[in-house]
Amino acid sequence: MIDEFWSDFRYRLRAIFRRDLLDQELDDELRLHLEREAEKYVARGMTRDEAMRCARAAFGNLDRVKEAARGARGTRLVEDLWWDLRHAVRQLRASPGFTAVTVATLALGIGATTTIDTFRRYVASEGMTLVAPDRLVYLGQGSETCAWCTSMSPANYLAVRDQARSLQHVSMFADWEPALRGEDGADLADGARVTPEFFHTLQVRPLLGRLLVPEDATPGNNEVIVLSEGAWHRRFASVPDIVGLTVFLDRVPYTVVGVAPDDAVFPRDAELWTPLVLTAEESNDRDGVQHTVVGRLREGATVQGARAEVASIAARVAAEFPELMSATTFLAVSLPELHRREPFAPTYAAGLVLLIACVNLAGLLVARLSARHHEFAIRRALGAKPGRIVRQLMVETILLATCAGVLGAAVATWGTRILIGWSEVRLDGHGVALATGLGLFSGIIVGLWPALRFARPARMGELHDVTRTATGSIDAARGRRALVVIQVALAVVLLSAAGLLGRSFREIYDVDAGFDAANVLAVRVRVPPPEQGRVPEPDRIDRLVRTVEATPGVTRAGAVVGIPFGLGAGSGTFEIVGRPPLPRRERPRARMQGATPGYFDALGIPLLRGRDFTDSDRTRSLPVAIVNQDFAERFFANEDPVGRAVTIDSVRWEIVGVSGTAFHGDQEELSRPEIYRPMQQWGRPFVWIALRTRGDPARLGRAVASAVRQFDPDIPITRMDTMSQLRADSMGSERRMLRLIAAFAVVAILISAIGLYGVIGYSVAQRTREFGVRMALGAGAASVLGLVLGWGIRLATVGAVFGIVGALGAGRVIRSMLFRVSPADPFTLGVVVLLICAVAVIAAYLPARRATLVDPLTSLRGE
Amino acid sequence: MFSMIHEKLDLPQGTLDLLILKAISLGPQHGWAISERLHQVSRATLQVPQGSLYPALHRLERRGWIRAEWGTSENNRRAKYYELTRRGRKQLDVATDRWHRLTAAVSLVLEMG
Repeated sequence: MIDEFWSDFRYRLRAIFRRDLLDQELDDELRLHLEREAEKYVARGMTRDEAMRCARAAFGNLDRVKEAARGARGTRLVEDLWWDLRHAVRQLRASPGFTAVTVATLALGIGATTTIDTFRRYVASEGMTLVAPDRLVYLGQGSETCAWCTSMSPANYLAVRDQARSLQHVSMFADWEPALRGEDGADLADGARVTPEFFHTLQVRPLLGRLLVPEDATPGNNEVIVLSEGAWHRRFASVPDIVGLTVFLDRVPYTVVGVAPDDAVFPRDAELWTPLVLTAEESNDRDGVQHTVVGRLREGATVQGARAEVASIAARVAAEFPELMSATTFLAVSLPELHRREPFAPTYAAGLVLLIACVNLAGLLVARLSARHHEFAIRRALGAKPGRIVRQLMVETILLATCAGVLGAAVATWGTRILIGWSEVRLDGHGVALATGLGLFSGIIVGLWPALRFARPARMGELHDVTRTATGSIDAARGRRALVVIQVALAVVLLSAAGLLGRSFREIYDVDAGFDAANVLAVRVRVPPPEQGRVPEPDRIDRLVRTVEATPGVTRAGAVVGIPFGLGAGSGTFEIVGRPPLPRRERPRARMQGATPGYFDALGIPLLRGRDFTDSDRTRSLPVAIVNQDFAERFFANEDPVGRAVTIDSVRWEIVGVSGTAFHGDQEELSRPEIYRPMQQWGRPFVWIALRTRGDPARLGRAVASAVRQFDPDIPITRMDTMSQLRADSMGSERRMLRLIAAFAVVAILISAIGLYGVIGYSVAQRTREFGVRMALGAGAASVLGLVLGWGIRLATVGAVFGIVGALGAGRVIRSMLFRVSPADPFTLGVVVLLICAVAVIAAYLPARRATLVDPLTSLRGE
Repeated sequence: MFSMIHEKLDLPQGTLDLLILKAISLGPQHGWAISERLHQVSRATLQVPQGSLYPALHRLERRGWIRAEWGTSENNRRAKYYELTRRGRKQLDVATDRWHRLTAAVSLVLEMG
């Protein structure tokens, strides 16, 4: 069997590569046959010529036999395809304009899709290198339908860890960004504090040393860390004796006990892990701070089972603590499933671009095939089988589309770098394969219909048309118009989405921030606790602020926990003294802020009533607070809050002032209630220092950084930006989204314009004679121009009508991203329609000009 | 209209291969000689268009049942001689056996009642 296959294969190889020799041999063989046959007849007494004629007659059609003999070699398909391919290359090279436009548009569509797919896969790849990632589940607390609840309070975590039978290990981890002491100052490290089950849950084996064990999570033994392989290479130059080394994190000495391999790094970018020690107080906390919880399913258990089980545990907890657990249950979702929930609007946008590009390809193909109509008519008349013509056309289209796929991969390489801007996202083999595959696939799908359409057996009359320019393929023209309408409609959808996002972007920008963002430098620092054995200094942040304020060029400085447009401040519950007490869940919430004296002044937030903090608001003095105007309006509608007090965590804070409300960039709510406390009374490890400067704040960066280092080399600066930059960055993801969709919309418009131009140009060429007649009868250039432009506008309008319907649907998809703009914003939609009509006019103008230049005599004679 | 004597028989599908194998089983032959032999041995009853021989020969060569070699013909010209390979000989046996069984079975049915 193998034997037979092998000899067959060898024969076919020889048939392909020694084709000419084989043909020669066949000729020789057949000639001999005919001669011997003829000799036979000569022997019977015929003349030489008669004998040869008889021999041929007995033999049959010589050419057909040769063809059949070649067919018997079994290489016909390969040879034909090779011929088709060479023919296709010649055809495409003969019309470089068509080739360039089709390849470019399709490449853009494919590139866009591949870019988005690459990014999506990057997002979804987190944790996927771990052992059996589909057996890992995120556990969370929240409402039953919560899609993103993946964290729990410590007490609830402990309940699940101790009671869930379907989970083998359950671990909790909290983000941790300590200041890592280095040779030149401190640097922030990406880390996590994890319960000792963490590495068991992930089933990680150490690369060096050991991983965390339960004993590490006992007080006094917890100053150990596990480094990630990447951090070991990057931060410690891969020193071999890393295990046992002492490193200073937030000034505290930690011992490195092991290194974890890079494919086990979780969460992404983690550099080090240290034990999470839950205090007795934390272990009973059910509605305070929450951390991420990950578990591994026990053998045989399913995610559904785990989900049901944690829900029943939640029910038990709720029965015990009804007040804390109202409308709250526990949830379980597997790692891959959570990734799948990632919503990503650009996927739709990229898909639309690819769709437009395919529609465009179909349009261009039909146009081109119409032009080659006689070629096919003649070939069919000469006996070419329809299948053969279809195959040839398909080879051409697939060649085009595959080129576009390869180019699309190049576009995606560029796209991932420029459009998305995440340096760690790179096009990989998967992406290249996807791009090429998309090309191949779209070529086959798009090419089939036109190919079948033009390979149909010749109709009577088509050949008569050959000498005429009008090929009479009316339905092809109709098809092309339909395709252009689809293109325009799709472009309108994208353009509207881009317009809505752009408007919403503008709206956010136009919100009055409530402070003066010009000339302010924002510096985020981590202030680690004091050296071991040294007494804490509650005024350290104040002193740091004063040091930095002394930098030449700085006019005022102040520190705050959460600066507008920057992260930092969380929300918490409070109660108003003098009002009836509320159960914990029903207590009002406010953003919990801390500030030093001078912060409001530095940022230009007005103090509306009362006073600012002063240096005398110290640890032992009366706890005081400033609330913002939003807070005052919400909770003290008709009263003066100054002089009243709030309780937070059982401490009474007297309100001494009311500040203006600063916009933090929240899109759901323009303003939120805030409570500021003096940093001496409520210190935080991460603070922002706001510096009002004379002149460009960015120029002071270096001086400020060195002032901070001089003050304390263990204080890392984690971020430094001007306030305007911070404001722009706070909308980074919206901006990126807008940029992507806008880029896609531009591509869509270009493609539509090319499509319109093609269709109208074709119609003009078809009706040259009609224009000649019109002009001969006295029609002016203006009326011809108007007629052709009218075609363009009509097509665009029909497309726009469909497009608007699609845009209303798209608006609903991106509704959550819109700020103070209706998804059916009439202004945006109106502008889009006007724009697309303008594009149609531009696209129609060149052919229209050509129509006016028709010379009546030539056009009539040309027929 | 036609007398029975002049009627020629078309070959059933696939039998040409068998005939070719048989024709060269006695020794290497070139194409024309094979055609002549089939014509003579069948007493001119079988209608084998001479041309159809060649595609069949090439197909058999591809399948490795026959092997071709260039030699010199009776009239001293370059000719392509075909001979059976070992696999071809086996195939000839198998196909012959199958043919006999088939014709026997068909005869049985036709002679029925």
